[in-house]
Amino acid sequence: MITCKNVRENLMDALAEEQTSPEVLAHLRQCGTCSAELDGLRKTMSLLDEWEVPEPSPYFLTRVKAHAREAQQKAPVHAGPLAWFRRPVLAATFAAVLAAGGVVLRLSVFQTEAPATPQTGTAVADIEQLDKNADVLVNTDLIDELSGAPSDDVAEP
Amino acid sequence: MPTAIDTRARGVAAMAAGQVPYDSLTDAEVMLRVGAQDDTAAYEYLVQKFHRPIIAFMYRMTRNQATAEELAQETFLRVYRSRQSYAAEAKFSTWLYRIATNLAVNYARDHKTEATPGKVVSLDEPDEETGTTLDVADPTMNVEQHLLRQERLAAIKKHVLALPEKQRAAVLMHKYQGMNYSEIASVLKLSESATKSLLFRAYEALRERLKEFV
Ligand SMILES: [Zn+2]
Repeated sequence: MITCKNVRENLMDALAEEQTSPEVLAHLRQCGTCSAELDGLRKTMSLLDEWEVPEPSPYFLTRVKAHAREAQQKAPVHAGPLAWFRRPVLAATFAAVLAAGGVVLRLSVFQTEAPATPQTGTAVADIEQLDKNADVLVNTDLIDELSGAPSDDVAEP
Repeated sequence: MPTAIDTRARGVAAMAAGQVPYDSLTDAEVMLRVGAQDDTAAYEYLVQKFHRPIIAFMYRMTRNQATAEELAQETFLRVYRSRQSYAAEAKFSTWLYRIATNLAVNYARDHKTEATPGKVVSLDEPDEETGTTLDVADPTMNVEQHLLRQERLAAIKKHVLALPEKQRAAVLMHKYQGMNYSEIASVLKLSESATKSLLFRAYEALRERLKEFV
């Protein structure tokens, strides 16, 4: 016998009109509480349609392209151990610079964009802070960290 | 509506003209070209294709358009810097949203006070954080209806922003980015059923807090 609790667990499927089991559908037809809940969720979701976003700045694309070109001119930051063999010119440059500068190269690659003293608390400073953490995969771990976090639970007002 | 055959035909024509027909490739294939051949045109194609949804996602995560554009810019820059480590194991959009979500969550954590649920949201003024008036007066609305709409919008923004970060990201991807449960699950590295229950809790909270408006 299917309970209201089982049905609640399947409401996201019912909302997406994914394969909802016939038992759940039958329950929804005869249980006022569960069907009211489904209806409330649907209405809440369509209420969210009202929130529109501003137009992006007309300079956004230009800025991103300029940054990418700048990044391209520098040595590839994320080249894997073998990646530069695919890029003979860069590999030669890299090898030459490595021979000449050793560790200095590594530092310069990672620090080129960050000013010496970023102001804290501004969005720009935060991004620069994040920039220092040059490997995108390091930050990807934040999601892992979030997975079991207590913040999963709805914060009560 | 262009068919697959149209797309292929356009692709062949573009090839003949010496251009790469990016729209006949998958986004992952285009991204692999960025990494393997340092194809900047391929990169620019991806930025062009995804910049609006990423800025919109960031705007709703932070409620500030300037911040949203900075975070979106940083997202695309990271995509570029990581061009050689991209492996097509994940869909390109999954990888992109994972980078974006990390940046947004990081930002939100550093700006906790601004996201306080009890924060007073002005009902009378246009959204001061965007610098633009989103809510263009609808000529069919009277003053009262207009005010009610403003109030509703303010409540929506406030309560979405008050959701815990991961719930908020999930709701935004589901509601506004048109992503399905399995795509959201791969971005957040959750199982599909965990994603559904995360979304259920988020929408339940919103339903409860927005009930006077539905
Ligand atoms: Zn029931």
